[in-house]
Amino acid sequence: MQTNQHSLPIIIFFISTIIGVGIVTLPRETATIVGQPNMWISVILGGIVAFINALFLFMLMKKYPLKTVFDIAPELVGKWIGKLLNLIFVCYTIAISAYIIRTMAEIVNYYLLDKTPKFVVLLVLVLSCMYLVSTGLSNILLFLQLYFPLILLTFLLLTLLSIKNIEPTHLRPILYMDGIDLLRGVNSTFFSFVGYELLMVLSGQYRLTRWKPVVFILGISIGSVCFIYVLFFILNIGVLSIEELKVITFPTIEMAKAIEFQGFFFERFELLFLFGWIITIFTTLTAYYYSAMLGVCKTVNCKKSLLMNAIIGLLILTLSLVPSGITELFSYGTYLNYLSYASLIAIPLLLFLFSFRKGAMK
Amino acid sequence: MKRRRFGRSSPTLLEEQIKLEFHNSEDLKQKTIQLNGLTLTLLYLDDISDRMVIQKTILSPLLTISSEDTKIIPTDIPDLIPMAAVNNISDHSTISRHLMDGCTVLIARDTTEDHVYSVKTTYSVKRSPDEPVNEPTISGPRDGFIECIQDNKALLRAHLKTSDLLFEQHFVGKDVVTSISITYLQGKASETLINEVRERITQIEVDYITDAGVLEQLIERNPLSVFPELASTQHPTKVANALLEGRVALMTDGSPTVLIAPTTLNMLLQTPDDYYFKWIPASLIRLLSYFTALISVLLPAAYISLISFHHGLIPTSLAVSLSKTREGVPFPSVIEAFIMELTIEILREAGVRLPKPIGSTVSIVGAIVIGETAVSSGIVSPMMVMVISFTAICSFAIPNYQLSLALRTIRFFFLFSASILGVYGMLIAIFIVTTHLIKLRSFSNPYMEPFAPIHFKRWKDSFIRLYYRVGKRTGI
Amino acid sequence: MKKGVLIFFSLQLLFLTACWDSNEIEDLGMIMGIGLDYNESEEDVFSMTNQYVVPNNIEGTQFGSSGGDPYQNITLTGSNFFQIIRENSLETDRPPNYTHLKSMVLTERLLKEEPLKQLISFFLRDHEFRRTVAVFITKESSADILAVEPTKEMFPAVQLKELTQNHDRSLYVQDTLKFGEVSKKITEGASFVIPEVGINKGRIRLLGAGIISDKSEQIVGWLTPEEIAGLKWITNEVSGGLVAIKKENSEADQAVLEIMKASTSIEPVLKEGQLTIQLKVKSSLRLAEDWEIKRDVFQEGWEKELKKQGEQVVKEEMEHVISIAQEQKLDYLEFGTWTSIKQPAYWQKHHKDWERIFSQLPVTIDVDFTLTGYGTQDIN
Repeated sequence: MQTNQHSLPIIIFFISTIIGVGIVTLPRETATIVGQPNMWISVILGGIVAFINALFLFMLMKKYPLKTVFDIAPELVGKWIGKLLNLIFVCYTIAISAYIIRTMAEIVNYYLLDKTPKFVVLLVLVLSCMYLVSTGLSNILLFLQLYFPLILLTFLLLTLLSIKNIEPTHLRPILYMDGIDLLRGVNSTFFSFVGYELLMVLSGQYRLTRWKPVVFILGISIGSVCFIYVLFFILNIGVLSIEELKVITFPTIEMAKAIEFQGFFFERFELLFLFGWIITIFTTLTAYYYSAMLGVCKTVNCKKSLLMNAIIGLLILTLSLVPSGITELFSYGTYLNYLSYASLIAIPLLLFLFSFRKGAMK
Repeated sequence: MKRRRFGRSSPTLLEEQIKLEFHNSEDLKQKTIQLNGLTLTLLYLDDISDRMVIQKTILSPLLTISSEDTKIIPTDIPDLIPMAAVNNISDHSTISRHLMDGCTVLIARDTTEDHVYSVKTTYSVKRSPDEPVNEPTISGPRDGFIECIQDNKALLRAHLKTSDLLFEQHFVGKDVVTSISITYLQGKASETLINEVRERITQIEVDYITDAGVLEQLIERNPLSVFPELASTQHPTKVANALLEGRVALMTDGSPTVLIAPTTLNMLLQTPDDYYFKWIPASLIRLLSYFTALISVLLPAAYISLISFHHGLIPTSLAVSLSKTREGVPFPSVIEAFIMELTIEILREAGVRLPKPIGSTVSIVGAIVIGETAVSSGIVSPMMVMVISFTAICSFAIPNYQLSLALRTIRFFFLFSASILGVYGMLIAIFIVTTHLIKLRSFSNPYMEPFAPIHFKRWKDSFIRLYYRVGKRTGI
Repeated sequence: MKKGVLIFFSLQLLFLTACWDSNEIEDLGMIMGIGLDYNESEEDVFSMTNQYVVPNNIEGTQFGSSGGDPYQNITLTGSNFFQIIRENSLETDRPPNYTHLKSMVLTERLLKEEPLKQLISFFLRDHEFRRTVAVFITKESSADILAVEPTKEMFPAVQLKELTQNHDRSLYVQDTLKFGEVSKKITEGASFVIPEVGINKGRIRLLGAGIISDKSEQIVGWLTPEEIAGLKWITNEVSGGLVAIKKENSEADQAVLEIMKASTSIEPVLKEGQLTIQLKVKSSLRLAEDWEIKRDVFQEGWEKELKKQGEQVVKEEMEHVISIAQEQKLDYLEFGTWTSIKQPAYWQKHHKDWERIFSQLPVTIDVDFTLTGYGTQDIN
């Protein structure tokens, strides 16, 4: 890759990776914790925290141009511990892939295919993703670029169609707030921004060393995701109300289902949202899938082969079939959060500290 | 090429060698005249050389001179013939090619050596450059390429009056040599692109090429793909437009079809007509052609997934009337769709194969007799007939036939996936097809440009066409 | 070669699998409306009426119709709804499908016995039910309501839903109460009213409304159509209709004003710890029907009298509804919601005691009419 790449593909990569399950489940999670109509403030706060964390990751990667986190870990903390850290990161990417596709399978099962086994639903998804991943990173980026306008278009359409259903009373009061609850909400909203950590993987292909472009890229990506989330929060609260959000499993889809235009050619619009949303799930899966494969290949020093690809796919598929039901799935989500803490904060921090030691030694 | 036949054991006289090469064919005529101490042998292929021309341009001037009493040396020959195209052939192995082009070959022999000249005396039955049958245009130029490469070059020159237009001649084929011309505009087409085309042409190892379609398959790099890697057209305007955009055209002798490389999906959905009208209607037509392409691929699949998987997504009144119309249809809608699709494809092929007057009868029989009776006897539902025929009409509206063929093929893939997993299966199929399209390169150029890689600036000449000052043509 | 084998086997896999969810549309028992009811006498206390579409009897297509109704009602009883739905399979070959459900009719009997929350929990859980289903209550049996021959629409359930579409033309018609709204009200723990339907001379007719209490989630009272008008004025739902000035509250003969535009603002005001609700109604109207001969609309000041009388009529209507609600201690007037928005601190402190506060809440009503015209001609 050339060093002087246009930043648009990277921005699109981040946005497509970050938007995923969060847009469907986050309103419920946040409503249970925060429970006030201005809970979208939590999303903004979560976005800010994510942005700071992303900048921290960048500070780490800046020192090692054209290297991924998988390359620098063994260099910094020693071969075996480094490999262990890599493995944790790979586990994290696999777990998050499994989690998102399982949530998607639940939704597909609820709203589209009632009787089809989840195994089949997931298998075809993983297989098609495998095909995309096998074409390499540059093609993945092309793929994301192709679908990006489409995703935005569906979200925009859904917003326009839902505006009619908003009841402003649900959104008020805006300014009266319980600050502590809002801060507690950040804990869950923050996780809906994960995806930016793939900066540590992308840095292997793109020379991301200068502050200005990277801050621009991260700012635009996290900022626009934040905007989309806030928009959907406002739509969700406005259409469904806070109390209702707490009890609906997939609020955004129910919101889309509440749209009905009598006598119009298309009366029902949840399909529109599901289409756009499954695309975002696919793009997120692709990004993590690729990272997992790259991580494994770098750790065990093998080439990116079809076999490796298939093994990762199989792992993701198997892991995604482990939870027996939706309650169990959501409880796995909490474990996943610990793993995210480890990969987003603990590992980079450790590497960061070691990087000073190494630097001093030089 | 045919050098091996000129072995040591072959006859010593050049004309004898050539005759042997043509296996003493009847139509290879030889005429020897003595000209003031010079033996002049004329060789020509009887049917493709014009005897009148030979008489007028070669024989009569030479014979007038022979009556005078001057000494003629072989190198004077070109001056003596009042015809522009007299070529000196130094490589004797190319003599046969000149003969086959309709040239008359003159062998002037003085005591020491043979001087070989060829004079263009071509006589051939040619089609006039009519409007291509499968690419009609509304207001653009109505000429079309014909089977003769020289005339095609002339047509292109007429459309592109610039000194930058270059033709680069290549010869392909072991048994039968076909001349292929790499055409480009110097300064517009990138050097790497020209090199890549040149390289692929020279790498061809084949006995013969019968048509541009064969050439296309020989130089493409994705034989498993259904999508055309090179665009083909019979319209000089289209080629001229492509050349102006920096693309390269490949002309094949004996084929009215010209190949254009590289191509993109975007380009295949455009017609030159788009540029001849005002930009707002032209943009709408562009949008329409994207829309029809989408419909021709997705409509049957979408219909199947709605009618047999996601009933809840159909508007209520439509759902009620659909369930009424499908009442009593013996097949599941998936089978019904496959049957109808197959019928339409058969009708279409039959229409193409038959001579035109009968062809229209087939479509009448197909549409009215089969369609009407199938519906009224309750074998298929009226809605299905509507969906399938609308799809077929949409696929007719696609400007490029190769693309239309490709989309027809993948339509079945979508139909199949939709019949198993409904809308979800359709979406997965879309993922797979787009991954394929993303992966596809046409001469190192991404196929999905300008959508992936995303070039917002080029969108103004993609699914819309902004007015000229803004939407000025962008290169590839 | 390897690839070929792989492709062959994956294709095999696809063909081996059935199309799990594939289900032809004509094999579905599309259901347009459901009615829930309660039987005291029997052991199976619940009964449920499903209104199926009978596609064969729909007229207007080329296949001859047998002339029957395009719908069929099947009423079955059981101890829970899911069981009843499954029992439908005993009588009809088509599995019921609720994705096109239009309306749901509950009965007074049922809501007196069972809390609404438990009743609809099944329907909320199932993904086939949409949030846009219209909900009604009736004093008659729900099976009877669904059996009334429709006059304009094809299906009774559709006609039922369409009736509430006129809410912008008449003060007596409430806006459609959607299933999603019911769920919202229940989770919010608020009282609310359900539009009532009844049978009048063999035709279906919208009546007043049934009041659902937030505590028991059962029906506790009824509102007449006139009271619906008052409720609509209070909750800012008026978008059309008329204000009739009767003979008895004016010196002149009666007159009817048509509402062109109307809006109500609810303003909870906190003064020295005492909450007051201020209702401000602003409306512009037009003289639609006039029985008074002496009135000359070309003379300035003709509207003053009318304006005052009209304002009085509306104010009385509103006061009447507020007094009913306060008497019942049920806040279906959305005063609580507005207090929580405008006075969040007060609400935070007192919302547990809201029932008591509400019943004694002072309400001031300020109605302001603007008469904009009298139409195109005045022959008086």
